[in-house]
Amino acid sequence: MGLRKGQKELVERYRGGKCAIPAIPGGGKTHCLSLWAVEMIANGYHKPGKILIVTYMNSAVNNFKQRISAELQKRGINGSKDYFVSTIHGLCLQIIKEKPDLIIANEEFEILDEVSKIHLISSAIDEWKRYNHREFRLYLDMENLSSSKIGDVYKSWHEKLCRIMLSAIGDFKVKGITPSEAKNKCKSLGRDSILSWASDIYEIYDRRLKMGGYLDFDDMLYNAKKMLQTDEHLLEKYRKKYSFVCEDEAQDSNYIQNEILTLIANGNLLRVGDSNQAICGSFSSSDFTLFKSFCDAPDTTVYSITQSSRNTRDIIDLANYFVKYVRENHPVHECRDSLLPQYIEPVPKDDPRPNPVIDEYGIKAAVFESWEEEAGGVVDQAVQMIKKHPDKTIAILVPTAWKMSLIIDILQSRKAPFEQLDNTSGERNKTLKKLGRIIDFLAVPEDGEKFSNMINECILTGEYDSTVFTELVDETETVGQRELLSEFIKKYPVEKILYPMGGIIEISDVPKELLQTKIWKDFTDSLDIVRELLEFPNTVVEKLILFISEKLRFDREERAIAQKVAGDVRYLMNQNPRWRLSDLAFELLSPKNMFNYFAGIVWDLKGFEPHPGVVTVATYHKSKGLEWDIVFLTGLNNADFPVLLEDKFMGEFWFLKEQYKNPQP
Amino acid sequence: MAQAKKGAFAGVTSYSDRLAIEMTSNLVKAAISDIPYSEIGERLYNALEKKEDIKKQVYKEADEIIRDYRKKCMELGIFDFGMAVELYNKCLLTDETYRNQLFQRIDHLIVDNIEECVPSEVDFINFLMPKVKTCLLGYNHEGGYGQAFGSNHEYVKKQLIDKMEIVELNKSYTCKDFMYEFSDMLFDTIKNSTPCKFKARPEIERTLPLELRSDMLEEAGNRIVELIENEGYNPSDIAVISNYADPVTEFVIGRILERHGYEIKNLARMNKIIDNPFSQALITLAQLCHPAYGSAPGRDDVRALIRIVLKIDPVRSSILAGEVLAQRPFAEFPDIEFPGLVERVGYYNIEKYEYIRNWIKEYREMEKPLQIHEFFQKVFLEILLSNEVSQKDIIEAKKLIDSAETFVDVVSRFNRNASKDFLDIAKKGIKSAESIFELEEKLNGNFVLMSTPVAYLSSPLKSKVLILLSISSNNWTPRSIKEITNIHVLTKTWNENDIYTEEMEEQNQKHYLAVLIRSLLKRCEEKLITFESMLSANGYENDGILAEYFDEILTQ
Repeated sequence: MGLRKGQKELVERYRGGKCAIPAIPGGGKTHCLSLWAVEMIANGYHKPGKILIVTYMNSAVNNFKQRISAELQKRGINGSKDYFVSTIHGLCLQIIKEKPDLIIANEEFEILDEVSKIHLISSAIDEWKRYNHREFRLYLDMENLSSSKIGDVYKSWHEKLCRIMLSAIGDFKVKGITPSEAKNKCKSLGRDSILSWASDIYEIYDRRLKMGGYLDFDDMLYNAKKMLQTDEHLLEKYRKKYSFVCEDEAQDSNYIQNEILTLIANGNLLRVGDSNQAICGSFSSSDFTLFKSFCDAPDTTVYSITQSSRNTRDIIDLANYFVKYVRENHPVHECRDSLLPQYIEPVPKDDPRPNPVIDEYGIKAAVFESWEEEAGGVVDQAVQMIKKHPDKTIAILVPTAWKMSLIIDILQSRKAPFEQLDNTSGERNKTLKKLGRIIDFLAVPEDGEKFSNMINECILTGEYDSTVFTELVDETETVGQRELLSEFIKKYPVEKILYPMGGIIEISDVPKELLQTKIWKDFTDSLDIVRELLEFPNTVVEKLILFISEKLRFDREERAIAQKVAGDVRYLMNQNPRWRLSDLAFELLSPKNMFNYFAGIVWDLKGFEPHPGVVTVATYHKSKGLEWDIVFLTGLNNADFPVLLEDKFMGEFWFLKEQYKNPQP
Repeated sequence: MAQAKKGAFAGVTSYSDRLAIEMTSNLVKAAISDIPYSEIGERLYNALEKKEDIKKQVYKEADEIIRDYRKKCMELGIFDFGMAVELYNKCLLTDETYRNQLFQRIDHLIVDNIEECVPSEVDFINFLMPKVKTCLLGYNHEGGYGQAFGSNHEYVKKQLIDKMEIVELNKSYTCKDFMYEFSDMLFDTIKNSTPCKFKARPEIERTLPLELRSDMLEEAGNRIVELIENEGYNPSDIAVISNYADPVTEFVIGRILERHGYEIKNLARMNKIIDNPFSQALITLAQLCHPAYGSAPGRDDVRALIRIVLKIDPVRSSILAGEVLAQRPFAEFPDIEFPGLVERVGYYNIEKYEYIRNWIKEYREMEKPLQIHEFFQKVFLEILLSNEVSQKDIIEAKKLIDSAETFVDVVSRFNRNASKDFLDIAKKGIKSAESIFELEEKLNGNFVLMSTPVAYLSSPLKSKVLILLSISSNNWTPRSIKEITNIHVLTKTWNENDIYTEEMEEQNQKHYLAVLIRSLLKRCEEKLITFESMLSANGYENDGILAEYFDEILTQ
């Protein structure tokens, strides 16, 4: 099985009780945890219940499932019912669905995803603002603002306030404080306290949530815990159901998750994590000390995984140096303990999968004057790398979504092949965008622009013009076939193309150079499909969506997404009879929309594999657990990674009065 | 109803229409079980295992709303189903003259499926029994799946069975011996946790779990085609049972069958009035003709209307719809002189266009608008009816007119503009009524039939091949306790002083599943095929118990 130090002990020895596996990055946690589960199932050690594996993201859930089922299959064991892999929210959902009436919820309650949550909080703030306009403006530096800017500042402040409320409401909920309790507790703070506003907004938000039949993620955690604590019958059921509980990414666990898993575990609790990779603390309620204290508990058996073959020796040395530097020399003393003295070791030379040895590029650093320069410089280098090493996988990692957008713009302008690793973009959103483009056209079919967008993005998706990417931004180009076609159909009346009076398109109206292209032929051939879509009755929108998915020959994942959209549309239309095709198109085309979550689940089933020759662009957070041959780390500066307490952080709000901008502790 | 009290139901995660449905259904359940409506909330609260102030408040509010609603009904002289039962039992049945009349009229009483009777029906049978010459009761002791509608098998047993002379019919004509045996085993395992093993045989086909629900639907569609084309079954030999039976399931399987020349029909009524383009056109016309109702039609709807009445291509229809909606002060068909209009409408359509335009204009000038059902009749006859209208469309129009008439009749008493209200609720998506004709067609045509379990069992159907979808879904064991109701507490056999415990709930869920699945399998003559997906329609893990029972019993 090729097990290394720590991995071997887990797979061969852990058969019950409390166990912790601190593992360094690239230590093969998923691999050995899957093998352990298979070993348990193969020998029936897990009986009478199942093995529960709780991990952080859906992609990891699928990764576990695929590995375990592949290994079981290899050994000829049918064990699909012997384990259950889930995110913590999936588990909580399962618990709440058992008895939604305990929390007085309709059994068909909906889960509010993060995007809709922001919408809901934003509208709650709007309601609050109507009666609290003075408060809303209280902290804004009105004196130094020109009147032309006020609108923008209000908007920014509103958005920032959404984020603040999001975390305040989350905090209330995690602590089990109800809206009325929050209001009572905050009364004494006075009307100028943002926390007191939060208690008002929490009340409005909660009311809207309940009337919409929604639970948000915080509700799910809190209610599941409450149900397990108050309902012995339910707790007993779960303890019987799962005889082993494993928590992956345990360093990102939070207080409630910890409680839920400890309640269910009934003694057999396995936690795997790396305290030095706790990356969620800055934006969620996770607390990496939970894992640390679990490791330190006297009745916990600890098997450490310290060897990794993911990186070259140089990179391992650099990572270890960083840990050592933080522990010994970090300028802020209090930060020195934030990393544990856990160092990565390369694997022994005779390991079947040795550490890579690379002489060609190694570790390089570059300093730029501004982010714009940096982004441009990094993309230049990445493009060079693709050419030089066409067989290598390459990633550009960025600290924020905002920084990502500039990188993407530059990659696009250079026509460099790239892939965005993000829940709301690229591959994952492709199907939704396609559906959106088509429905957008069907809603207003006389609009040439929409017609052109649909044709280009959904119907004629083949390559018509050579796609050699350029190294310079402003290289002059000849007009391609696609552009010729787009220019024509954007301006020419759509009805004259689709339903010409004489039965055929007036050829004399079409530019000569377009008539001779391949794209024109394909375009005219595709018009039958467009007409079919247009003529399909649109009174039953869900059927229209499924019809589109059929006509455009959607693949398996795309069909699943189309079916989900179709299923939800009926519900949406019931909720809001004024919804039109154009509203649906608008939702589908917004980068963050209500179907992202499901689309993400479906695409996660496929798993992410970087392709050589295509640059992956991802945030640091999303890159966790993934591997590339060449990686560009961007934004390594004090603003994105503040070191000193005086360093400005990205959370600073310039438009606030001086004393509130960047409060010092 | 729920909106009657502002701010009621704080702390309940649910929609007001859902709560309204629960309250009306509570009223019916109370009435058919002879429980005074004023005691509903208290009865439900007393049975709760975990009593909390917030829940007490919720039930109190529900009671108040129900009281107000009843009061309003009385004032307006209308009654709903629950009240009808109550009035009949309390006023008519206690009236001696009526009773004597009734006894004189009825000599012979025949009731089928008494196991699905609600307590009031049982009481009524009991009441008549001493006075009739013969009484024949058809009884399936394995039934009882109608509990969601208030049926109470236990009460039937207690009140009727012992009083009857019993003629047993033990032979099953709807399934083979092995299926009979298998369904009984499954029942025993689910209901009584009796360990049973059944040797797998090809007639019981378990399809391995598929990852996504969409995978499952497609696989089921393909399997049905195989059954018809390779295994010699007729489409009508096959029934697909799904707890959803939603339009997506219907469409996905339907399109696969269609490619091979077969059809699927949904026994469950899921269609909304506005799903039918013809009915939608009637409603759009109504909106255009009644500016005073303040509900302008949407662009999609006007376009569809133009397509139907003028037969213009969709692009030009859309352009015209834009013009119609752009007219001020309210949407209307623009004058024929409007620039470019003739070209778009097409010369051959001008006459029709003018006719409709004038028709709407004249109607709008009428002093008093027609009642909405009269309007629909007029529009149907004067505008929409043509040679091209199909029989299906005529039926849809008839259903719309009938629904509107009933609605107007009731709602106008509430001192509201019933015609406007009807348009509003139609837009909101009320379901369309089903005609006997359509039902007949579904039951007897050569289609693959799709249905929810209970709708299927309520029909007289059986099938050679029974396909069960999503057997690992939780929907097979619905929870009896809802936000503000509990079917087991709101029934006659419940003892008011008892607490409804989780153990009872678990037992009841298993009992329901056991009864349901046994009844379904006994309507399966030759072949049973099960499908399941790991993820639900929303992408969550399925972990229902039915699939596990199948796994437990079947051995290789």
